[in-house]
Amino acid sequence: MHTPLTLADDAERLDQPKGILRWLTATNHKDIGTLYLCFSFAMFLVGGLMALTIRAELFQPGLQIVQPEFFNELTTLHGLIMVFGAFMPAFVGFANWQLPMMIGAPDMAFPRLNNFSFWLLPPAAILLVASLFAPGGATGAGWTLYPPLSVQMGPGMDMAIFAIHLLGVSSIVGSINIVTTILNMRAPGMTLMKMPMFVWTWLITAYMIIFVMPVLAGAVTMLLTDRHFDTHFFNAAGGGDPALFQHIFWFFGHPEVYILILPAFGIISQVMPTFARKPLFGYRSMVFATFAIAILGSTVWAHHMFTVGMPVGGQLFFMYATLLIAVPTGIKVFSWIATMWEGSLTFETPMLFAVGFLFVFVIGGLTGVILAIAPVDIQLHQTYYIVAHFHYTMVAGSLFALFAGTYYWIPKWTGHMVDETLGRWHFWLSMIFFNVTFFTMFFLGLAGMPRRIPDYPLQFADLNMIASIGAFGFGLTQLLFLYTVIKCIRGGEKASAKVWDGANGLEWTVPSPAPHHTFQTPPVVA
Amino acid sequence: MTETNSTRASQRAASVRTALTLAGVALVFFIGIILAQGFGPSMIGLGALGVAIVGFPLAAIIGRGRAR
Repeated sequence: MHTPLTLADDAERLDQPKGILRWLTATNHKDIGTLYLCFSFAMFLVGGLMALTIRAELFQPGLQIVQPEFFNELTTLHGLIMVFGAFMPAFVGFANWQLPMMIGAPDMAFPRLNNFSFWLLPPAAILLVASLFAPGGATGAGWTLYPPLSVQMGPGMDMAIFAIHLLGVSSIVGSINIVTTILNMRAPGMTLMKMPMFVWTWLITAYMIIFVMPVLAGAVTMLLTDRHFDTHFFNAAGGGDPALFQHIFWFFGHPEVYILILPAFGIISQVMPTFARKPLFGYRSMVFATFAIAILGSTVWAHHMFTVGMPVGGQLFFMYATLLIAVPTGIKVFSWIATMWEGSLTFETPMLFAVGFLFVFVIGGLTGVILAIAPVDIQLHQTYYIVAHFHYTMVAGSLFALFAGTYYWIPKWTGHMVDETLGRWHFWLSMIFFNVTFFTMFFLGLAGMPRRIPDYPLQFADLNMIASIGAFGFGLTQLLFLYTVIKCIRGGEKASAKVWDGANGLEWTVPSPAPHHTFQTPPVVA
Repeated sequence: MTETNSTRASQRAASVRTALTLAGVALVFFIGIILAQGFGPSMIGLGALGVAIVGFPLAAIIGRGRAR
């Protein structure tokens, strides 16, 4: 096993810069992981505040709080901030903290590059938020930034484009670091097929980011040249094609959904076996299912564009390919259920969130199957049914997995156990309020309420009121999460090295809290 | 050079090679998607395929030769 921490390690730590300089110059994967997690939670609160303003406006019909233009800016920034500022960095934070410890590496392959990729994020976030104060306001074109609107907007759009460039570079650099670390720095004996599922899912996710993020960067670069350098990539007046942007955007955008969900699958695949006290059922099939989801997920982008107008052959291809993704996803869901089957189950907070994930993700997945059917999608396009569907997959799916992962690994990070009572309250309140918010939106969508509107007819009033109450409950519940985490950082019952009796893996062989430097002598995996 | 240092150096070299390859892939996708709109997807597609067929084996052969 690994060499324990020595006094030299502590001495080295004492030589490190203190205060703000420690974080600015951080190269340790655990420090950078902490930075990513703090940043992502701050952005989650900012994006959440925007969501609550949206829900406050929609509490009843008529215009109450914001003007329609500002409402559009809020929906746009809420999407961009949540996807690029909150969820992606949160998963990268988990990757930074856990991957080296799980594969027995001393750190990431390129620690300075790791620091660089994190510190690109705050300027991008500032650009996005500050664009609200630009002349003409922030971009209101939706997170998809479709032209022609995005070609015509004010400087707030340029700030968003530059922010996306920065976020893209950060993601690509971070992903290169992750792939390199996993491929080259595994402990002796840890073959690819011995890697924990979280590592596998991140390896595949990082490849996806490297393939699709440059495409988004290319698309917004063309948008920028259309706006300022008289090119006509997407400008119909100059012979360009606005639908082309949609193709390029969704070539990135749909894999992005899997970029946000595959690491979540990885977290759930770590948590469930621990609390079922059984090995993960069908490890190999889980690995290949992850590959299948990544490959199929990269070929189905135009199912977001059925209403744009495409040949029937195209519609059929994208419809069947999308439906096919249900197969590998089903393999995963059934493998998790089989893992729990006849296990010695206990339901500590991480497991509650893992089971909760399964519940909400399956609802999101099944409504995705419904939406994959082209004639149905054409009916439901741009309605609240879509909003409900993607919040079930991306928000509850990703977020519940992030909560599961936080409660699972935070004793390893802080050396303290979480207050279980608060954790359980957090789970049940999140579960109830999330469903109150978003399940009602399925009915709103089926009844025909379009999304991205600040006002609506009276017939939608009751359900909107319920959704808004749920949203405020869900938002407030996350302050409970913040309090629980801070309480855990400040103290609590001491955590042992192997925090959970059913846990397996290299990270559980190091003391809690994990020393600043781990595995300077690589462990040997049998 | 001790055995440990030698192992670390070779691991570092391998990491740099991997990172440069991945960065190259990202760059090709970024430039490729823009050029494809300017010059037509088929021309760029064939060009990228040609570079892949000729360029990658060439780079691999040169890389392996240098290692020896």
